[in-house]
Amino acid sequence: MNVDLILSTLNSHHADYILIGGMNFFLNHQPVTTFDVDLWIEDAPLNQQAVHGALAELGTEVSFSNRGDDWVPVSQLTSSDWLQRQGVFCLWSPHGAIDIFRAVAGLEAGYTALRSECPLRQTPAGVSYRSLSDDLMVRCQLALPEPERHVDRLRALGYRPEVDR
Amino acid sequence: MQEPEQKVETLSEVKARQEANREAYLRRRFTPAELWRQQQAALDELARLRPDLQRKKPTPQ
Repeated sequence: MNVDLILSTLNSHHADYILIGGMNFFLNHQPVTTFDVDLWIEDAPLNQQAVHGALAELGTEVSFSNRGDDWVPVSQLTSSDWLQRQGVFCLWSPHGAIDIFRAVAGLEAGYTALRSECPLRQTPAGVSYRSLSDDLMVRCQLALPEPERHVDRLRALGYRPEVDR
Repeated sequence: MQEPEQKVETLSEVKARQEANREAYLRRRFTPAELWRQQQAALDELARLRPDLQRKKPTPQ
């Protein structure tokens, strides 16, 4: 896994994305074991082209069938139209698994409305990335069915059910 | 005759299915030894990303 390379390749293609999920929590809060990079992308044609270009350069592969038996390199897809086929894509790349989200449960206000709440941060190697804010991470957790919530993450994010509910 | 109703998958159902497909693909593509090596490399990467989380073992008194 090479998180810096994934983020810096997206940056070099001017992709507009926000790092979400376990990797974002790991980089900014407490240790959690996570083996993929979750990205919420701006769902607009120009940005989809930028994301497509970055994923192609990273050697990413995607599958579209329900059975997952048709993996194909993104570099072999002739356009970014595939990014409009479904709401989420779980991809594989030689640099680590990448999940692309066009929509995120709990963040129904949308990418454009919430982007400004998400700070720009840097990895220890100095690679910039936009990071889902703590408040929005809490919203994502609360959007999950209760048994699926990461209670430890909510606690680390300062969520107090008796006060914040 | 009425068409059978097709169930629309939720976002989390799509994600769960795709994650399972990806895992199955990696198991087909790589040997268990290679998968183990990749997992170790991923753990090394996590340690590199958060060097502040690595604490020295306390010295015995």
